[in-house]
Amino acid sequence: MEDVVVLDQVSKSYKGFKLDRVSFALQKGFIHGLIGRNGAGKTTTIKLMMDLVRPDEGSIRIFGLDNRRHGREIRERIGFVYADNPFYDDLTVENMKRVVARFYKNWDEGAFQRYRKQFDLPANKKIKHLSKGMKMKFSIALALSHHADLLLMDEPTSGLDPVARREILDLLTGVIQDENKTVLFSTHITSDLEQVADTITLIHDGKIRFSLPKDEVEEKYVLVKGGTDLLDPDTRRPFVGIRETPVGFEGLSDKPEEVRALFGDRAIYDKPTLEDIMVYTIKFAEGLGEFGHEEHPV
Amino acid sequence: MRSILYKEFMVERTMILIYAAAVVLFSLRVVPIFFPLALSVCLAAFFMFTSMVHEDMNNTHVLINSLPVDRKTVVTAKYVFYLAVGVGFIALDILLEAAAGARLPDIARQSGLALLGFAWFVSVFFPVYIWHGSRFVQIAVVTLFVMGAMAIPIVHHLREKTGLWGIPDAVASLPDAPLYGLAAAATGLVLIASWFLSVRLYERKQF
Repeated sequence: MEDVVVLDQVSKSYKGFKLDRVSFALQKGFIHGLIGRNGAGKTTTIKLMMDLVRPDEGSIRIFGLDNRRHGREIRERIGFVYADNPFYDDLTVENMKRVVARFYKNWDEGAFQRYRKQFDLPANKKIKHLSKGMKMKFSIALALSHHADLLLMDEPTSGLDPVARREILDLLTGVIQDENKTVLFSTHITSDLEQVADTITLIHDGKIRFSLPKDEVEEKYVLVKGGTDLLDPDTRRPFVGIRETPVGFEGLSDKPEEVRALFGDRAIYDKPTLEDIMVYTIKFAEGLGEFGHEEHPV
Repeated sequence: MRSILYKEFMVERTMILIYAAAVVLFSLRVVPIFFPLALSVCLAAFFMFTSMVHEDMNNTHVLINSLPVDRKTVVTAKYVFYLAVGVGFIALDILLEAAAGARLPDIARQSGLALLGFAWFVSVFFPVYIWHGSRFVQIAVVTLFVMGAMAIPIVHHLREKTGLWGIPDAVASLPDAPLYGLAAAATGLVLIASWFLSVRLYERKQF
Protein backbone atom coordinates (compact mmCIF):
# COMPACT_ATOMS: atom_id res chain seq x y z
CA MET A 1 0.00 0.00 0.00
CA GLU A 2 1.29 3.42 -0.93
CA ASP A 3 1.67 5.95 1.89
CA VAL A 4 0.31 9.33 0.85
CA VAL A 5 1.17 11.05 4.13
CA VAL A 6 3.87 10.04 6.59
CA LEU A 7 4.32 11.84 9.89
CA ASP A 8 7.52 10.77 11.60
CA GLN A 9 8.15 11.71 15.22
CA VAL A 10 6.53 15.10 14.79
CA SER A 11 6.49 17.34 17.86
CA LYS A 12 5.07 20.79 18.32
CA SER A 13 4.90 22.73 21.56
CA TYR A 14 2.59 25.53 22.50
CA LYS A 15 2.10 27.11 25.88
CA GLY A 16 0.19 24.47 27.83
CA PHE A 17 0.06 21.91 25.02
CA LYS A 18 2.48 19.62 23.28
CA LEU A 19 2.02 17.41 20.27
CA ASP A 20 4.44 14.71 21.26
CA ARG A 21 6.39 12.61 18.74
CA VAL A 22 3.40 11.89 16.57
CA SER A 23 3.93 9.20 13.96
CA PHE A 24 1.39 7.71 11.61
CA ALA A 25 0.81 7.17 7.92
CA LEU A 26 -2.19 7.58 5.61
CA GLN A 27 -2.49 4.98 2.89
CA LYS A 28 -3.74 5.81 -0.56
CA GLY A 29 -7.36 5.03 -1.34
CA PHE A 30 -8.72 5.00 2.20
CA ILE A 31 -10.74 7.18 4.53
CA HIS A 32 -8.68 7.74 7.64
CA GLY A 33 -10.41 8.89 10.80
CA LEU A 34 -8.59 11.05 13.31
CA ILE A 35 -10.47 11.04 16.59
CA GLY A 36 -9.93 12.73 19.90
CA ARG A 37 -11.63 15.18 22.16
CA ASN A 38 -11.50 18.94 21.58
CA GLY A 39 -7.97 20.22 22.13
CA ALA A 40 -6.39 16.80 21.71
CA GLY A 41 -4.20 17.91 18.81
CA LYS A 42 -6.29 17.04 15.73
CA THR A 43 -6.30 20.52 14.23
CA THR A 44 -2.62 21.05 15.01
CA THR A 45 -1.83 17.78 13.24
CA ILE A 46 -3.75 18.90 10.13
CA LYS A 47 -2.19 22.37 10.23
CA LEU A 48 1.23 20.76 10.42
CA MET A 49 0.42 18.77 7.29
CA MET A 50 -0.71 21.96 5.52
CA ASP A 51 2.48 23.74 6.65
CA LEU A 52 0.40 26.34 8.46
CA VAL A 53 2.38 25.58 11.58
CA ARG A 54 5.95 24.30 11.70
CA PRO A 55 7.05 21.26 13.69
CA ASP A 56 9.69 21.65 16.38
CA GLU A 57 10.97 18.18 15.53
CA GLY A 58 10.25 15.39 13.10
CA SER A 59 9.37 15.28 9.44
CA ILE A 60 6.22 15.25 7.33
CA ARG A 61 6.18 13.78 3.85
CA ILE A 62 3.17 14.08 1.58
CA PHE A 63 3.08 12.34 -1.81
CA GLY A 64 6.69 11.38 -1.02
CA LEU A 65 7.75 15.04 -0.80
CA ASP A 66 8.90 17.11 2.14
CA ASN A 67 5.91 19.28 3.01
CA ARG A 68 7.97 22.41 3.69
CA ARG A 69 10.18 22.33 0.62
CA HIS A 70 7.42 21.35 -1.78
CA GLY A 71 4.48 23.09 -0.13
CA ARG A 72 3.07 24.66 -3.26
CA GLU A 73 3.23 21.46 -5.29
CA ILE A 74 1.67 19.47 -2.46
CA ARG A 75 -1.15 21.94 -1.82
CA GLU A 76 -2.06 21.80 -5.51
CA ARG A 77 -3.06 18.18 -4.83
CA ILE A 78 -4.82 18.76 -1.49
CA GLY A 79 -8.43 19.67 -0.90
CA PHE A 80 -8.86 21.18 2.55
CA VAL A 81 -11.93 21.67 4.68
CA TYR A 82 -11.53 23.55 7.95
CA ALA A 83 -13.87 23.57 10.91
CA ASP A 84 -13.82 27.38 11.06
CA ASN A 85 -15.01 29.28 8.02
CA PRO A 86 -11.83 30.60 6.34
CA PHE A 87 -13.65 32.51 3.57
CA TYR A 88 -14.31 36.19 3.03
CA ASP A 89 -17.73 36.80 4.53
CA ASP A 90 -18.62 39.63 2.17
CA LEU A 91 -18.02 37.70 -1.04
CA THR A 92 -20.76 35.71 -2.72
CA VAL A 93 -20.43 31.97 -3.27
CA GLU A 94 -19.71 32.61 -6.96
CA ASN A 95 -17.06 35.26 -6.32
CA MET A 96 -15.33 33.27 -3.60
CA LYS A 97 -15.25 30.31 -5.97
CA ARG A 98 -13.70 32.53 -8.69
CA VAL A 99 -10.99 33.61 -6.26
CA VAL A 100 -10.13 30.06 -5.19
CA ALA A 101 -10.43 28.52 -8.67
CA ARG A 102 -7.68 30.72 -10.11
CA PHE A 103 -5.10 29.13 -7.82
CA TYR A 104 -5.56 25.59 -9.17
CA LYS A 105 -4.22 24.29 -12.45
CA ASN A 106 -6.75 21.44 -12.46
CA TRP A 107 -9.83 23.43 -11.56
CA ASP A 108 -12.93 21.67 -12.90
CA GLU A 109 -15.74 24.22 -13.25
CA GLY A 110 -18.20 21.52 -14.32
CA ALA A 111 -17.51 19.51 -11.17
CA PHE A 112 -17.96 22.59 -8.98
CA GLN A 113 -21.29 23.46 -10.59
CA ARG A 114 -22.46 19.86 -10.09
CA TYR A 115 -21.59 19.97 -6.40
CA ARG A 116 -23.10 23.44 -6.05
CA LYS A 117 -26.39 22.16 -7.45
CA GLN A 118 -26.21 18.94 -5.45
CA PHE A 119 -25.73 20.96 -2.25
CA ASP A 120 -28.29 23.64 -3.21
CA LEU A 121 -25.70 26.36 -2.80
CA PRO A 122 -27.04 29.71 -4.02
CA ALA A 123 -24.39 31.27 -6.28
CA ASN A 124 -25.26 34.87 -5.46
CA LYS A 125 -25.64 34.59 -1.72
CA LYS A 126 -22.92 36.11 0.45
CA ILE A 127 -20.86 33.71 2.54
CA LYS A 128 -21.94 35.50 5.73
CA HIS A 129 -25.56 34.68 4.93
CA LEU A 130 -24.95 30.93 4.59
CA SER A 131 -25.73 28.58 7.45
CA LYS A 132 -22.89 26.63 9.02
CA GLY A 133 -23.93 23.53 7.09
CA MET A 134 -23.99 25.46 3.82
CA LYS A 135 -20.55 26.94 4.48
CA MET A 136 -19.23 23.46 5.12
CA LYS A 137 -20.81 22.14 1.93
CA PHE A 138 -19.31 25.06 0.00
CA SER A 139 -15.93 24.27 1.49
CA ILE A 140 -16.30 20.63 0.47
CA ALA A 141 -17.43 21.58 -3.05
CA LEU A 142 -14.29 23.71 -3.45
CA ALA A 143 -12.09 20.96 -2.06
CA LEU A 144 -13.53 18.41 -4.49
CA SER A 145 -13.46 20.57 -7.61
CA HIS A 146 -9.77 20.55 -8.45
CA HIS A 147 -9.28 16.77 -8.53
CA ALA A 148 -7.37 16.68 -5.26
CA ASP A 149 -5.64 13.40 -4.44
CA LEU A 150 -5.82 14.06 -0.71
CA LEU A 151 -8.71 15.56 1.22
CA LEU A 152 -7.87 16.96 4.65
CA MET A 153 -11.04 17.61 6.58
CA ASP A 154 -10.94 19.12 10.01
CA GLU A 155 -14.20 18.46 11.83
CA PRO A 156 -16.33 18.73 8.68
CA THR A 157 -19.45 17.48 10.43
CA SER A 158 -19.08 19.47 13.62
CA GLY A 159 -22.15 21.57 14.33
CA LEU A 160 -24.17 20.11 11.46
CA ASP A 161 -27.60 18.59 11.74
CA PRO A 162 -27.91 14.82 11.16
CA VAL A 163 -29.25 15.23 7.61
CA ALA A 164 -26.35 17.46 6.54
CA ARG A 165 -23.90 15.13 8.27
CA ARG A 166 -25.29 12.15 6.44
CA GLU A 167 -25.08 13.99 3.11
CA ILE A 168 -21.43 14.74 3.69
CA LEU A 169 -20.65 11.19 4.76
CA ASP A 170 -22.41 9.79 1.69
CA LEU A 171 -20.45 12.17 -0.48
CA LEU A 172 -17.18 11.03 1.07
CA THR A 173 -18.09 7.41 0.49
CA GLY A 174 -18.68 8.33 -3.15
CA VAL A 175 -15.37 10.19 -3.39
CA ILE A 176 -13.40 7.27 -2.11
CA GLN A 177 -14.77 5.02 -4.87
CA ASP A 178 -11.92 6.58 -6.82
CA GLU A 179 -9.09 4.52 -5.38
CA ASN A 180 -6.56 7.24 -6.07
CA LYS A 181 -8.11 9.53 -3.51
CA THR A 182 -7.28 9.58 0.18
CA VAL A 183 -9.25 11.27 2.94
CA LEU A 184 -8.25 12.33 6.43
CA PHE A 185 -11.34 13.12 8.46
CA SER A 186 -10.89 14.50 11.95
CA THR A 187 -13.82 14.51 14.32
CA HIS A 188 -14.92 14.03 17.86
CA ILE A 189 -18.21 12.57 16.59
CA THR A 190 -17.05 8.98 16.40
CA SER A 191 -20.32 7.66 14.99
CA ASP A 192 -19.52 9.45 11.71
CA LEU A 193 -16.37 7.41 11.35
CA GLU A 194 -18.08 4.11 12.16
CA GLN A 195 -19.91 4.61 8.88
CA VAL A 196 -17.11 5.67 6.57
CA ALA A 197 -13.59 5.24 7.96
CA ASP A 198 -11.17 2.50 7.02
CA THR A 199 -8.58 3.33 9.66
CA ILE A 200 -8.79 5.05 13.01
CA THR A 201 -6.15 7.11 14.75
CA LEU A 202 -6.88 8.17 18.30
CA ILE A 203 -5.04 11.22 19.55
CA HIS A 204 -5.25 12.37 23.12
CA ASP A 205 -3.30 15.06 24.93
CA GLY A 206 -0.96 15.43 21.97
CA LYS A 207 -0.07 11.75 21.78
CA ILE A 208 -1.21 9.06 19.37
CA ARG A 209 -2.87 6.32 21.40
CA PHE A 210 -3.39 4.00 18.46
CA SER A 211 -3.52 4.07 14.70
CA LEU A 212 -5.11 0.95 13.28
CA PRO A 213 -7.48 -0.33 10.58
CA LYS A 214 -11.03 0.04 11.86
CA ASP A 215 -11.62 -3.73 11.69
CA GLU A 216 -8.58 -4.31 13.86
CA VAL A 217 -9.76 -1.70 16.34
CA GLU A 218 -13.08 -3.50 16.60
CA GLU A 219 -11.36 -6.88 17.02
CA LYS A 220 -8.76 -5.59 19.43
CA TYR A 221 -11.21 -4.36 22.03
CA VAL A 222 -14.07 -5.97 23.91
CA LEU A 223 -16.65 -4.38 26.16
CA VAL A 224 -17.20 -6.53 29.25
CA LYS A 225 -20.23 -6.27 31.55
CA GLY A 226 -20.67 -8.14 34.79
CA GLY A 227 -21.18 -7.99 38.52
CA THR A 228 -18.75 -6.09 40.71
CA ASP A 229 -18.01 -9.32 42.59
CA LEU A 230 -15.95 -10.37 39.57
CA LEU A 231 -13.53 -7.53 40.09
CA ASP A 232 -10.36 -7.81 42.11
CA PRO A 233 -6.86 -6.40 41.53
CA ASP A 234 -5.96 -9.33 39.25
CA THR A 235 -9.13 -9.29 37.13
CA ARG A 236 -8.90 -5.50 36.76
CA ARG A 237 -5.47 -5.70 35.12
CA PRO A 238 -6.50 -6.51 31.52
CA PHE A 239 -8.88 -3.52 31.36
CA VAL A 240 -8.16 -0.23 29.67
CA GLY A 241 -10.85 1.32 31.84
CA ILE A 242 -13.71 0.26 34.09
CA ARG A 243 -16.92 2.05 34.98
CA GLU A 244 -18.50 0.73 38.16
CA THR A 245 -22.05 1.18 39.38
CA PRO A 246 -23.72 -0.27 42.49
CA VAL A 247 -25.16 -3.08 40.36
CA GLY A 248 -22.21 -3.99 38.21
CA PHE A 249 -19.39 -2.88 36.00
CA GLU A 250 -18.68 -2.18 32.40
CA GLY A 251 -15.09 -2.22 31.21
CA LEU A 252 -13.12 -1.98 28.03
CA SER A 253 -10.30 -4.41 27.51
CA ASP A 254 -7.71 -4.65 24.77
CA LYS A 255 -7.02 -8.27 25.77
CA PRO A 256 -10.25 -10.02 24.75
CA GLU A 257 -8.91 -13.55 25.11
CA GLU A 258 -7.51 -12.90 28.57
CA VAL A 259 -10.79 -11.48 29.88
CA ARG A 260 -12.80 -14.33 28.37
CA ALA A 261 -10.47 -16.78 30.08
CA LEU A 262 -10.82 -14.87 33.35
CA PHE A 263 -14.59 -14.44 33.43
CA GLY A 264 -15.91 -17.21 31.20
CA ASP A 265 -19.68 -17.04 30.91
CA ARG A 266 -20.06 -15.03 34.12
CA ALA A 267 -19.72 -11.83 32.07
CA ILE A 268 -21.30 -10.41 28.90
CA TYR A 269 -19.02 -9.49 25.99
CA ASP A 270 -20.04 -6.80 23.54
CA LYS A 271 -18.44 -5.20 20.54
CA PRO A 272 -17.48 -1.68 21.67
CA THR A 273 -18.30 1.37 19.61
CA LEU A 274 -15.55 3.82 18.68
CA GLU A 275 -17.04 6.13 21.26
CA ASP A 276 -16.60 3.46 23.96
CA ILE A 277 -13.01 2.95 22.91
CA MET A 278 -12.30 6.67 22.80
CA VAL A 279 -13.98 7.43 26.13
CA TYR A 280 -12.37 4.57 28.05
CA THR A 281 -8.94 5.17 26.56
CA ILE A 282 -9.10 8.86 27.34
CA LYS A 283 -10.47 8.34 30.83
CA PHE A 284 -7.69 5.87 31.51
CA ALA A 285 -5.04 8.26 30.25
CA GLU A 286 -6.50 11.11 32.30
CA GLY A 287 -7.25 9.18 35.46
CA LEU A 288 -4.41 6.74 35.72
CA GLY A 289 -1.62 8.47 33.89
CA GLU A 290 0.14 7.42 30.76
CA PHE A 291 0.25 3.96 29.36
CA GLY A 292 3.26 2.78 27.44
CA HIS A 293 3.61 2.74 23.69
CA GLU A 294 4.71 -0.90 24.02
CA GLU A 295 1.21 -1.88 25.05
CA HIS A 296 -0.46 0.19 22.33
CA PRO A 297 1.94 0.29 19.46
CA VAL A 298 1.30 2.83 16.75
CA MET B 1 0.97 36.28 -8.25
CA ARG B 2 -1.90 37.16 -10.61
CA SER B 3 -4.24 34.90 -8.61
CA ILE B 4 -3.47 36.75 -5.38
CA LEU B 5 -3.78 40.15 -7.04
CA TYR B 6 -7.14 39.04 -8.39
CA LYS B 7 -8.14 37.90 -4.90
CA GLU B 8 -7.12 41.26 -3.41
CA PHE B 9 -9.09 43.09 -6.06
CA MET B 10 -12.21 40.95 -5.61
CA VAL B 11 -12.12 41.32 -1.84
CA GLU B 12 -11.38 45.04 -1.77
CA ARG B 13 -13.07 46.37 -4.89
CA THR B 14 -16.00 47.96 -3.03
CA MET B 15 -13.64 49.66 -0.59
CA ILE B 16 -11.43 50.83 -3.44
CA LEU B 17 -14.46 52.48 -5.05
CA ILE B 18 -15.49 54.15 -1.79
CA TYR B 19 -11.97 55.47 -1.14
CA ALA B 20 -11.63 56.57 -4.78
CA ALA B 21 -14.91 58.48 -4.46
CA ALA B 22 -13.49 60.23 -1.38
CA VAL B 23 -10.34 61.15 -3.35
CA VAL B 24 -12.54 62.64 -6.10
CA LEU B 25 -14.55 64.69 -3.60
CA PHE B 26 -11.41 66.09 -1.97
CA SER B 27 -9.54 66.67 -5.25
CA LEU B 28 -12.41 68.59 -6.80
CA ARG B 29 -12.75 70.55 -3.58
CA VAL B 30 -16.36 69.37 -3.22
CA VAL B 31 -15.24 68.83 0.34
CA PRO B 32 -13.00 71.86 0.86
CA ILE B 33 -9.59 71.00 2.28
CA PHE B 34 -6.21 72.69 2.10
CA PHE B 35 -3.99 69.93 0.68
CA PRO B 36 -5.97 67.16 -1.10
CA LEU B 37 -2.93 65.24 -2.31
CA ALA B 38 -1.70 64.69 1.24
CA LEU B 39 -5.16 63.49 2.09
CA SER B 40 -5.09 61.04 -0.83
CA VAL B 41 -1.89 59.57 0.59
CA CYS B 42 -3.54 59.33 4.00
CA LEU B 43 -6.55 57.62 2.40
CA ALA B 44 -4.27 55.11 0.63
CA ALA B 45 -2.53 54.40 3.92
CA PHE B 46 -5.82 54.08 5.75
CA PHE B 47 -7.19 51.80 3.03
CA MET B 48 -4.20 49.50 3.47
CA PHE B 49 -4.63 49.49 7.21
CA THR B 50 -8.39 48.73 7.15
CA SER B 51 -7.84 46.06 4.52
CA MET B 52 -5.34 44.27 6.78
CA VAL B 53 -7.70 44.46 9.74
CA HIS B 54 -10.41 43.03 7.49
CA GLU B 55 -8.07 40.18 6.53
CA ASP B 56 -7.33 39.42 10.17
CA MET B 57 -11.00 39.57 11.15
CA ASN B 58 -11.88 37.01 8.49
CA ASN B 59 -8.85 34.93 9.50
CA THR B 60 -8.18 34.37 5.83
CA HIS B 61 -4.46 33.78 6.28
CA VAL B 62 -5.41 30.14 6.82
CA LEU B 63 -7.24 30.08 3.49
CA ILE B 64 -4.49 31.81 1.49
CA ASN B 65 -1.75 29.67 2.94
CA SER B 66 -3.69 26.49 2.27
CA LEU B 67 -3.82 27.32 -1.44
CA PRO B 68 -1.04 26.37 -3.85
CA VAL B 69 0.98 29.52 -3.45
CA ASP B 70 4.21 30.22 -1.58
CA ARG B 71 4.49 32.79 1.14
CA LYS B 72 7.01 34.93 -0.73
CA THR B 73 4.43 35.40 -3.48
CA VAL B 74 1.73 36.27 -0.94
CA VAL B 75 3.88 39.06 0.51
CA THR B 76 5.09 40.30 -2.88
CA ALA B 77 1.51 40.49 -4.15
CA LYS B 78 0.50 42.55 -1.12
CA TYR B 79 3.28 45.07 -1.77
CA VAL B 80 2.36 45.27 -5.46
CA PHE B 81 -1.36 45.61 -4.73
CA TYR B 82 -1.16 48.30 -2.07
CA LEU B 83 1.50 50.28 -3.94
CA ALA B 84 -0.71 50.12 -7.04
CA VAL B 85 -3.72 51.34 -5.06
CA GLY B 86 -1.66 54.17 -3.54
CA VAL B 87 -0.26 55.20 -6.92
CA GLY B 88 -3.79 54.99 -8.33
CA PHE B 89 -5.22 57.33 -5.67
CA ILE B 90 -2.35 59.79 -6.10
CA ALA B 91 -2.66 59.67 -9.92
CA LEU B 92 -6.41 60.23 -9.66
CA ASP B 93 -5.86 63.24 -7.45
CA ILE B 94 -3.18 64.69 -9.77
CA LEU B 95 -5.38 64.27 -12.83
CA LEU B 96 -8.33 65.94 -11.17
CA GLU B 97 -6.24 68.77 -9.74
CA ALA B 98 -4.60 69.33 -13.14
CA ALA B 99 -8.00 69.33 -14.77
CA ALA B 100 -9.14 71.89 -12.21
CA GLY B 101 -6.28 74.18 -13.26
CA ALA B 102 -3.54 73.59 -10.71
CA ARG B 103 0.04 74.50 -11.72
CA LEU B 104 1.78 71.50 -13.24
CA PRO B 105 5.30 72.09 -11.77
CA ASP B 106 3.75 72.23 -8.27
CA ILE B 107 1.75 69.10 -8.95
CA ALA B 108 4.81 67.21 -10.21
CA ARG B 109 6.80 68.12 -7.10
CA GLN B 110 3.94 67.32 -4.74
CA SER B 111 3.05 64.04 -6.42
CA GLY B 112 6.71 62.97 -6.25
CA LEU B 113 6.71 63.70 -2.53
CA ALA B 114 3.36 61.96 -2.11
CA LEU B 115 4.63 58.80 -3.83
CA LEU B 116 7.77 58.78 -1.74
CA GLY B 117 5.76 59.35 1.43
CA PHE B 118 3.41 56.51 0.64
CA ALA B 119 6.27 54.17 -0.26
CA TRP B 120 7.88 54.91 3.11
CA PHE B 121 4.59 54.20 4.87
CA VAL B 122 4.28 50.85 3.05
CA SER B 123 7.90 50.04 3.88
CA VAL B 124 7.37 50.58 7.59
CA PHE B 125 3.81 49.29 7.82
CA PHE B 126 4.23 45.82 6.32
CA PRO B 127 7.04 44.37 8.43
CA VAL B 128 5.48 45.81 11.59
CA TYR B 129 2.08 44.38 10.66
CA ILE B 130 3.47 40.93 9.87
CA TRP B 131 5.60 40.92 12.98
CA HIS B 132 3.08 42.22 15.51
CA GLY B 133 -0.32 41.73 13.88
CA SER B 134 -3.21 44.05 13.24
CA ARG B 135 -3.98 44.87 16.88
CA PHE B 136 -0.54 46.40 17.38
CA VAL B 137 -0.75 48.20 14.04
CA GLN B 138 -4.21 49.50 14.93
CA ILE B 139 -2.80 51.13 18.06
CA ALA B 140 0.36 52.29 16.26
CA VAL B 141 -1.52 53.90 13.35
CA VAL B 142 -3.96 55.73 15.61
CA THR B 143 -1.03 56.92 17.75
CA LEU B 144 0.81 58.03 14.62
CA PHE B 145 -2.18 59.98 13.30
CA VAL B 146 -2.75 61.64 16.67
CA MET B 147 0.94 62.51 17.00
CA GLY B 148 0.97 63.74 13.41
CA ALA B 149 -2.02 65.95 14.07
CA MET B 150 -0.34 67.31 17.20
CA ALA B 151 2.99 67.81 15.44
CA ILE B 152 1.62 69.93 12.58
CA PRO B 153 0.84 73.04 14.70
CA ILE B 154 4.10 72.64 16.61
CA VAL B 155 6.11 72.49 13.37
CA HIS B 156 4.11 75.41 12.00
CA HIS B 157 4.84 77.44 15.12
CA LEU B 158 8.54 76.57 14.97
CA ARG B 159 8.66 77.56 11.33
CA GLU B 160 7.10 80.91 12.16
CA LYS B 161 9.42 81.47 15.07
CA THR B 162 12.73 80.01 13.93
CA GLY B 163 12.28 79.35 10.21
CA LEU B 164 13.26 75.79 11.19
CA TRP B 165 16.85 77.02 11.38
CA GLY B 166 16.96 77.48 7.59
CA ILE B 167 16.70 73.75 6.85
CA PRO B 168 13.68 73.97 4.47
CA ASP B 169 15.28 76.87 2.60
CA ALA B 170 18.55 74.95 2.30
CA VAL B 171 16.73 71.92 0.94
CA ALA B 172 14.65 74.09 -1.43
CA SER B 173 17.82 75.71 -2.80
CA LEU B 174 19.25 72.34 -3.83
CA PRO B 175 18.72 71.38 -7.48
CA ASP B 176 15.54 69.33 -7.87
CA ALA B 177 16.74 66.44 -10.04
CA PRO B 178 19.59 65.09 -7.83
CA LEU B 179 17.54 65.68 -4.71
CA TYR B 180 14.56 63.71 -5.99
CA GLY B 181 16.86 61.11 -7.51
CA LEU B 182 18.54 60.59 -4.15
CA ALA B 183 15.20 60.45 -2.33
CA ALA B 184 13.80 57.98 -4.88
CA ALA B 185 16.89 55.76 -4.63
CA ALA B 186 16.75 55.79 -0.84
CA THR B 187 13.02 54.99 -0.93
CA GLY B 188 13.63 52.15 -3.39
CA LEU B 189 16.28 50.65 -1.14
CA VAL B 190 14.07 50.95 1.93
CA LEU B 191 11.19 49.36 0.02
CA ILE B 192 13.34 46.40 -1.07
CA ALA B 193 14.73 45.97 2.45
CA SER B 194 11.17 46.11 3.81
CA TRP B 195 9.96 43.50 1.30
CA PHE B 196 12.88 41.23 2.13
CA LEU B 197 12.23 41.54 5.86
CA SER B 198 8.47 41.01 5.40
CA VAL B 199 9.04 37.84 3.37
CA ARG B 200 11.36 36.44 6.06
CA LEU B 201 8.89 37.31 8.83
CA TYR B 202 5.90 35.91 6.94
CA GLU B 203 7.72 32.68 6.12
CA ARG B 204 8.20 32.14 9.85
CA LYS B 205 4.60 32.93 10.72
CA GLN B 206 2.28 30.19 11.95
CA PHE B 207 -1.46 30.23 11.55
